[in-house]
Amino acid sequence: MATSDTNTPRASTAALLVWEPIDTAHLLDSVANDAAGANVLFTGTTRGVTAGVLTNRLTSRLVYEAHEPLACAVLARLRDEAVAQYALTACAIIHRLGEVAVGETSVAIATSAPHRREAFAAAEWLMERIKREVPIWKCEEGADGDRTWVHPDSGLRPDSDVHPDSESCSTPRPVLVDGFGRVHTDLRISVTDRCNLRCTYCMPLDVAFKPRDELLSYEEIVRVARVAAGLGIRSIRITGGEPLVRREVAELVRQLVTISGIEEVSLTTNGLLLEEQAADLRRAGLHRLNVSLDALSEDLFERIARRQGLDRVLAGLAAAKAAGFQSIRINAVSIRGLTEGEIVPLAQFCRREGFHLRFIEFMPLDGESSWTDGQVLSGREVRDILARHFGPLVPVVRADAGQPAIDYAYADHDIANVAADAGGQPAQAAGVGFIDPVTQPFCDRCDRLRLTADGQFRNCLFSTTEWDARQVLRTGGSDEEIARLLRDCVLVKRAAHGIGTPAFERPARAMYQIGG
Amino acid sequence: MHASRSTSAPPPTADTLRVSLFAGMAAAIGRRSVELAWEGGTAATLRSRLAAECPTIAPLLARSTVAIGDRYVTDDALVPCDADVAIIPPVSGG
Repeated sequence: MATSDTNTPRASTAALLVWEPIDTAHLLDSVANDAAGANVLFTGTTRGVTAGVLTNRLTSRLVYEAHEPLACAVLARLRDEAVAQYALTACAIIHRLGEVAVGETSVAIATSAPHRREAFAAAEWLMERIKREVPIWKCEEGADGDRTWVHPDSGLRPDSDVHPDSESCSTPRPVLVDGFGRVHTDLRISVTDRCNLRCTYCMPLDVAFKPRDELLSYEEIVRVARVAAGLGIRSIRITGGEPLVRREVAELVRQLVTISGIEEVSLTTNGLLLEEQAADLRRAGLHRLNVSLDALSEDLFERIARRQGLDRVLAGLAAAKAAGFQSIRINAVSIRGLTEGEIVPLAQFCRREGFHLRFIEFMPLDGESSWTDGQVLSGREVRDILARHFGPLVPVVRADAGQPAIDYAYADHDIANVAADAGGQPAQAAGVGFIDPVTQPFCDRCDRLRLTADGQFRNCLFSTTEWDARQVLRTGGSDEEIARLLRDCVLVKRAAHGIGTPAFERPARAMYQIGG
Repeated sequence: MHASRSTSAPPPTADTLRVSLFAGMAAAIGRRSVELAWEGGTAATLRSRLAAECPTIAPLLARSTVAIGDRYVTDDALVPCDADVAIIPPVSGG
């Protein structure tokens, strides 16, 4: 077993699990050396009061357990990454297991470096990674004797952290971490605010679009994307408006997919222009397509979109399939009193065509600012409607834990195939997912940032603050200045969007001006 | 149940996969491991099979990662019968 029963590190590079109180003074001493001008000790101590969902609760006892061999291996790898990334002269980590009394140290990190900046930064970085990746769990025992294992919603990101032999072990990439420990890997880039539909939930009927010169050029977008990739962004979603109304989007795709560090480029479209462009997009290297389709009845399509075009969307989907796109997703917004009758037909259509269907709750970003919570048809209700028609839905394990959707397979389909689909493999069976931002907010595992068509960084759809990248781009600013802007934007991201709370403030922009 | 050092159990038979469980998952089914009849497959298959056999842990399983030996693996990784495989639910150390 790769654990130690002693609390004393053998050298200044310990990565240990122990069952006794941690001697923090000794740990700090152990990393001191002649090359170090700065030594930092971080200790995490157990708290007597834990914030609960409804109320704070008193904890009388805490017990930690670990998958010990794996925990030791992960700790050692993180230590090595920290030493390499921050040029540390020494680094030691100890985590305690078993019962830990309130107020005692459960984890301690000591770092030393020539200068304090690296020593501080490394300790913080290590703590973030430890909390997310090391297989250690806490069991809280309340005063009433109730035991609760803590399994937070955020945590391991299998897609990003689980590459056993990838080079990330030896050359770690920087990460965009916010004040709540959320790591940001996804950038949504809007390329235009224009659209060839006028969907009520997104855009007003008498819309005034931005002048062209206020939109970022493709050259500017690619530069921002490159800087973002250098900070840990791995996936890019191109949105709008309707991205395909902007000329040569395939050319933008072609440039984005070549950026080092970008693993996936996807695009969300209403499908109207897809028939003409699907093959070009595929050739350009676009990985995935999301097509918005809320209704299969022409009447309702037109009522929602305030334009016609259902037949063109269907032709676009057929063209996308023919072009070789796999894992095509259909996004359908659910609105009470409007879309209930479309739920089963959409599911039948997607099952037949092999598309993955996702229902999205109606959000307060509509063009007419007339959203009320009474119009929210919850994912739960949609699921019940589907289950009544198709039989039970089976929850599906997905490779990408950061995705907001909760996916299900139809019980009469093969579950394993849907799971494989989420991992990017060809879909043989279409599942159905629910994105419930209103009734089941996923803020606690949100990994998204946004760049609006006019070059503003946003850290949330519902953010009321923006960071002006266009200004930096157009006044001769450096890449480092763009990077700083993005880091600032991430740093102050709020814990949650707060819809339904008294403090919620509707953003001044509607969906089409942000990028859905 | 707490802070147990790993127990060494007899090796599973050729077509049986022993899957180690931890924390809330072990507590939910009252066992630290489950055995599945296994003809090989990916980590994704393993999770689907486990969810089917132990529905009570399915929601937590959906948020878990698979580990083989001292490495986390992605869902497309192959899981051999003799793998030292564990399900890692969201962690809460620190």
